[in-house]
Amino acid sequence: MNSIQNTIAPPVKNARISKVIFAWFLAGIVMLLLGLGMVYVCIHLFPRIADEYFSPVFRRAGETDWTFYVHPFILSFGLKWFWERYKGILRGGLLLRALEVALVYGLVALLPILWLTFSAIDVSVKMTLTWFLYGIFQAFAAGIVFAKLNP
Amino acid sequence: MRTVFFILSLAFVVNAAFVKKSVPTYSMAKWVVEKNSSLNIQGETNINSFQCDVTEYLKPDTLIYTKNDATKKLSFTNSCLSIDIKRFDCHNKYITEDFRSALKADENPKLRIVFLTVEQFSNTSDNQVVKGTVDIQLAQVSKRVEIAYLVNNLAGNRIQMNGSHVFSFSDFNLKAPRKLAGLIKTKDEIKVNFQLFFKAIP
Repeated sequence: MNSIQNTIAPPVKNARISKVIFAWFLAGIVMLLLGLGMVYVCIHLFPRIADEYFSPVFRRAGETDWTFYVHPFILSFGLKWFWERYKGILRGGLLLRALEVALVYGLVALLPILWLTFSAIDVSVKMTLTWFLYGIFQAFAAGIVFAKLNP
Repeated sequence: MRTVFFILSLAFVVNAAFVKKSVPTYSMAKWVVEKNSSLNIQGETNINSFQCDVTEYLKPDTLIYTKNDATKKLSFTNSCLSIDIKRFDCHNKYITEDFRSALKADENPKLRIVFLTVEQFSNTSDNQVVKGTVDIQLAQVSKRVEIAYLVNNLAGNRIQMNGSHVFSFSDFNLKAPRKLAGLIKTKDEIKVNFQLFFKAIP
């Protein structure tokens, strides 16, 4: 019996890893597209806030552009670890669980780091708030992907 | 035959001696740039448009020219306007700082407009459009352009010259400001408008 289990276990484990990697990657793609959409909305609905990106505190576009496009995948990696570790204590429907992930991320990670950013760098409160909402929406989207694919 | 040759030679000598030739005459004069001269730059970002102004010209530069009285062409010598880039005000502190930085104001603080020629200039007619050539020097790059000026002769020997020209940041090996991985960007083309007032000194 044990020998049968040993021969069956690896494919199951591999399939689970593939599913986790797929969910991580898909959540990264979704967050990237959502992020681009939110920047587009910010430019058109809140041009005065978007103007602030011309401030010298922001890096000029160039060699480091790729870091911006990679950030959703780094966030997705962290959120995926959190999801796998604590999904058991997140109860309720798909949207409620995603919302809980977003709020935890917002309170534990975003709020302190944005507080620190605001205290150290010359950025407005409005700009900082847009980043807070940006992160919350991204984490909510990732939560939906994880709750759907790896409940 | 000798007589014919003599008459022809005589006619040639008389012609050379008495017929008035149209030798061009030149006159030299100066224009002093007045303080109320202004220059502005209009540009666009993918967020909105902006305008950067230099509303006061503080350096009393003088333009020296020789005028060809026949063609009315002015040829300038060592005549340039020098504008401090740090005086540009874009009416938005972020864009002002970024614009100055894009023009490399710290390394090359001056924008120079070197006057070369003005064609068909008349100091009697108003609202005349004349063409001229200038060298624009910015960030250690010089670009020669032809500009159409609208010239008005004002009271007290004063001259007003308005003009504009569209440049690109890339004309001067500069990069239009881009932020947030290029999601926020300034268009490469900028329009330079100027309104110059000169005091003519004969």
